Amino acid sequence: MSFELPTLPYAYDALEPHIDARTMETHHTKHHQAYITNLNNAIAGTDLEGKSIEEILKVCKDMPAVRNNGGGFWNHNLFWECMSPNGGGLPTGELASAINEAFGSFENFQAEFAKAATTRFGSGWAWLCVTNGKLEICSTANQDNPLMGEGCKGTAILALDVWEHAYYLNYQNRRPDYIQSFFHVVNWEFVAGKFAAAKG
Amino acid sequence: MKTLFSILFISMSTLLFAQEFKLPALAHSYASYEPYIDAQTMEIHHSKHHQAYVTNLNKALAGTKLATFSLNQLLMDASFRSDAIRNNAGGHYNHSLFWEILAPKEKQTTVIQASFEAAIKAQYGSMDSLKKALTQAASTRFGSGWAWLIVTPDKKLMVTSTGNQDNPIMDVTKDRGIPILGIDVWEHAYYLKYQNKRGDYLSGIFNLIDWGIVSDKYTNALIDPLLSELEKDNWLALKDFHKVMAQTFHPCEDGNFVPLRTRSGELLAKAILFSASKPPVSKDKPNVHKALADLEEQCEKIHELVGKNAKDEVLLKEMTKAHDLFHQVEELCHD
Repeated sequence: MSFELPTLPYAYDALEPHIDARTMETHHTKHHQAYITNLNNAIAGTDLEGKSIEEILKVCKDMPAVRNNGGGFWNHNLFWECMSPNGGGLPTGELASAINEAFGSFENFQAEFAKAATTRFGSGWAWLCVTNGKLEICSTANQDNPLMGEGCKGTAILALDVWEHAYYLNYQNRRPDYIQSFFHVVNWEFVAGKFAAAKG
Repeated sequence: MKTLFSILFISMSTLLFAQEFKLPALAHSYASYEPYIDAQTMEIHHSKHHQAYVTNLNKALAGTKLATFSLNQLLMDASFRSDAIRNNAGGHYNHSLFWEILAPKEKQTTVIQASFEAAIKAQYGSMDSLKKALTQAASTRFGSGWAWLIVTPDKKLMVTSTGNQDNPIMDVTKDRGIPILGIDVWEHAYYLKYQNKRGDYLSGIFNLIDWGIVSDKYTNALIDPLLSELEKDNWLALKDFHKVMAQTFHPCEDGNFVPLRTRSGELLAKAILFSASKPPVSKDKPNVHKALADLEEQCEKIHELVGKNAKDEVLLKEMTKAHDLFHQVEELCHD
């Protein structure tokens, strides 16, 4: 059973004007699809075939094709779910309290997350993770992620793609503007669900 | 009096040479690279991305002793520099080279030196195979980065690639040499026109590479003193030791002794390897060996003190001594 491209839970133009339809379509049908195709090719006929993507990501460190494409597959899966046309606003409930506890305020959290996303040089991701019940912000290069256990650890509950392909058509060199727009579409309900599950 | 003169001279030369890096002008209009690279991409790439590297590089250097360094000096010792300097100095160098070697077809220099042609033939068989090797390096570089054609210290051609804004002059890269051709494969170099189709961008860009200019760069690289500098600069044991020294000593200065207390054994191990390593020919001098032996002894003392749970202030004093000894080695090496 090979890995498949997930269907988006909303239309390509649903996140306009924050993320444009053409970017969403290319990102999903070309970039994400290519990671999946290349991942399936890379594991075909190996011991990794048939394993879950999470199991694969834990052992792929020295296999560039699996690491890059497996990471690309998993990261985008989470990214799509972290956004919604009804997103934005503020987190509520336990997640809101945990954010206040870890960062002092939602504004501080936003600033720190934006900083991680802005200062990631080159291609990569910014993450909000749960480690031993606590929230932490970190970033990884290329398609690496917290499951690979280098630089970032814990369970990722919010992901932001800062590869140029995620924003270049609409924002070009203005990555900080893209990051601010992302906050208008964050699906906090989904993130809260991930948080509750990760906390156990 | 002599001292006064030299102080005056040094401060004047600092004033003279501490000039800011500037964005170079393009030799051709933004639109003249069409249809292979669109005018909008050229304009944003040059006036926004490259400009940002220049601005941020100047900002990172302002008021530091590095402000008088040449771009090559900053790049060569990249492992000793902050991320801001490494990334922005690389960004400035790489883009400057990129603009130089690109030209619209009708403006290209057609004269390719016979020696360059012979080198390509000897190492790659043909120009087509060289282009294939470059395309391969450029398309398989995952994430952001560059593909290069370089002249190595043994005066050979080599195709290689680096991540982000690193380049082959930097000591952080495996294949070192003087770049004579660079292809930018950051998505910002092609996304507006080609989106995910990096391969199409690469086929297009070969129409813009001015091989006459690359050929001149080849001839110049062969006699560039930087080439022998790169050959001498492969003292990995020094870099290895310096890394652990920096990661343990600087936290001590800020009152954090945990890194030193947990890694003093590793510091000693690196000092032993450093002391036993063979310095590059130009640095292979008795006083260098003496300083290395002193440094090793000092690291051994520190490791013992850590084992005896010595007080923070004692460790700071001994680490400062070790740090001074390291810089003594470095200074002796700058002939």
